[in-house]
Amino acid sequence: MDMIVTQGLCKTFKSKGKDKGTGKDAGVEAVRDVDLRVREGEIYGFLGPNGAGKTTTMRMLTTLMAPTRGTATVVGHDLFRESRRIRQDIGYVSQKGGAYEYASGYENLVLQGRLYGLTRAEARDKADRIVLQFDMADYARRIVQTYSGGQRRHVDLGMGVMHDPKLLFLDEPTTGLDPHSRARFWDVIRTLRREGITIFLTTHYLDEADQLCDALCIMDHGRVVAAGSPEELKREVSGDVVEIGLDPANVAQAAGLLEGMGGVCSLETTENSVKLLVESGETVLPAALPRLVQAGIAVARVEMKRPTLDEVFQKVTGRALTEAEIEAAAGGGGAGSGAGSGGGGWT
Amino acid sequence: MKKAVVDTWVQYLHYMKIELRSPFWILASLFQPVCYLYLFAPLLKNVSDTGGASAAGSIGSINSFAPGLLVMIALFGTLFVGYGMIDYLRSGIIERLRVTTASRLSLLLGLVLRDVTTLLVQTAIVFVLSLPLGLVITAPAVLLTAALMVLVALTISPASYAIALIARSEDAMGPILNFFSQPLLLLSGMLLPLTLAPLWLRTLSDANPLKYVVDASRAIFRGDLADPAVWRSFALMAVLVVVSFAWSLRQMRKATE
Ligand SMILES: Nc1ncnc2c1ncn2[C@@H]1O[C@H](COP(=O)(O)OP(=O)(O)OP(=O)(O)O)[C@@H](O)[C@H]1O
Ligand SMILES: [Mg+2]
Repeated sequence: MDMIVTQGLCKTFKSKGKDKGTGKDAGVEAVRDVDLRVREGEIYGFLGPNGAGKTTTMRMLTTLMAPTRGTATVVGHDLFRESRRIRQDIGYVSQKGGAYEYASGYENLVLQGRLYGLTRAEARDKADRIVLQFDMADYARRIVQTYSGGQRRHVDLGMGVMHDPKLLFLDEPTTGLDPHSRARFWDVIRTLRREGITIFLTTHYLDEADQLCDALCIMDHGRVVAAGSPEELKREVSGDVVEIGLDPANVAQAAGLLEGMGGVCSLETTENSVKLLVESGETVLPAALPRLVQAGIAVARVEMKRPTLDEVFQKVTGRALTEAEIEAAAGGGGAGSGAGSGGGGWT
Repeated sequence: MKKAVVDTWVQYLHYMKIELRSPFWILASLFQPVCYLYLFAPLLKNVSDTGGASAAGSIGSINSFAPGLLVMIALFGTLFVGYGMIDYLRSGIIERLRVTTASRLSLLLGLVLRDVTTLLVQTAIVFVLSLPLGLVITAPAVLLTAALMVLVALTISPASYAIALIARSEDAMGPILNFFSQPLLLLSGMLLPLTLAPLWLRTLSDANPLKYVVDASRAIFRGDLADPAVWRSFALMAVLVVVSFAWSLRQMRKATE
């Protein structure tokens, strides 16, 4: 069975306050024509820069807000008519978490279970098991206000699975965690999947999408711009990345020489290297290196890589994820602009 | 239905537990009554002794002061509860609760019943602290006053949550609450009886629901339980409770948009 199927899902926010330039009330098209298909038992990643519309899509699918247009079924229930059934079958851990600060993690878990209709004994039983499984015993009885970021995320996740949902939504589950905590959190998520829970998560981290997800889609400015398994997506890019390490003083000159060479799809510079996205490394490199040598530029290092998700992102959106983030933070570009307030800028 | 009752009860207990954990809770609820009864009431005694309207028979001035004080505590004790809601909105708690199978009404009722409980405790404190000051009152009058206070809390507290759900920030919330609280306070005759006011002011105060509550509680404290002001204010407040809940529930339903 498919856990999520959507067709032409759209969400337009009425913008508060009119557009300064035109005086028209345009609204923010946060999500445009999104078609998704999430299969049972997979970890599905939703990748995109700030303001792409990830949270908005998730809020629609979790019954928190009504779509402007489109159709969707979640765990086999119609999104428009069976929201109560959907709520019973899904768990949702929002970007902000949502634990009571002045209650302990354990109390938060038990209350959450009670609100899903568990008896007190059942709720305590399940909370005990989660405390063990998520390794929370050291802090579960302290109030949440005293928790570290990672500990909080564990409580949030625990609350999301108190009622044994079939489908779990996680909005940026690992944002703000250090690499070690992230890796541990991934393990917990994988365990949940082994128990049969389908997981739908959003992330900014390409490595997270690559290592954790069975399937993913890339969203940009409210649209899905690519979808498939990480391997499929990478194969689609079908180019190699060539990185040539240089003295920082020569980077600009080298970029000028290599730009527009046959077989080079795009070029990017870092402080001490030039990165080329090429159709085939074997043909471009032998031509590129002599050009640099002739211009008297010393080559410090040469590396060639198969594409990563970062390059996939770059190919489908025309810019790197980091650039997209900066652009969104500055309030520029497409869906990111025009929203007077809202969840776009701050994570 | 049964689930809605359990949901409400579970949340109510949870909020009470959190509340009681705070060491300031009891102090905070004691502070206002003590201040007014012991620092402000003595002033008023002299006002009424020098020819005020309330020096009726053997019943002392505390019987005319305490009712106004109670309504004031009810107003200020419940009007600002919305600040807690803003905190809950910001930290994602409301969103999380709205995805559970708990009913929207129970999300609201759990909080409102906590506020009612707090107010009842404060009401009890006022009664107890007023006794040494010469309060004369019967048991039915105490119960009737408490019931009236419950209705006030059931009106104002959901309204405060509704305002919070609309305002969504402390900065926007403050001015709105001040806008309501000042006229409600001044035009109710809580502190000084409106009999001292000029006609236009009295006419204006007829539009203030709290005026009827103050009138009713004054009647109850006089021992005049059959005064029409009493049943009138109960009827009015009952209507307002329904209106306030309907409004608040509506805001709760669309809370994330
Ligand atoms: N309630 C709202 N009213 C108006 N605009 C909104 C609202 N919520 C979101 N938006 C706008 O919709 C767009 C998509 O926002 P959304 O929160 O879905 O992005 P996101 O992909 O989750 O971003 P992030 O990675 O920063 O969490 C943004 O431009 C945002 O400003
Ligand atoms: Mg988001």
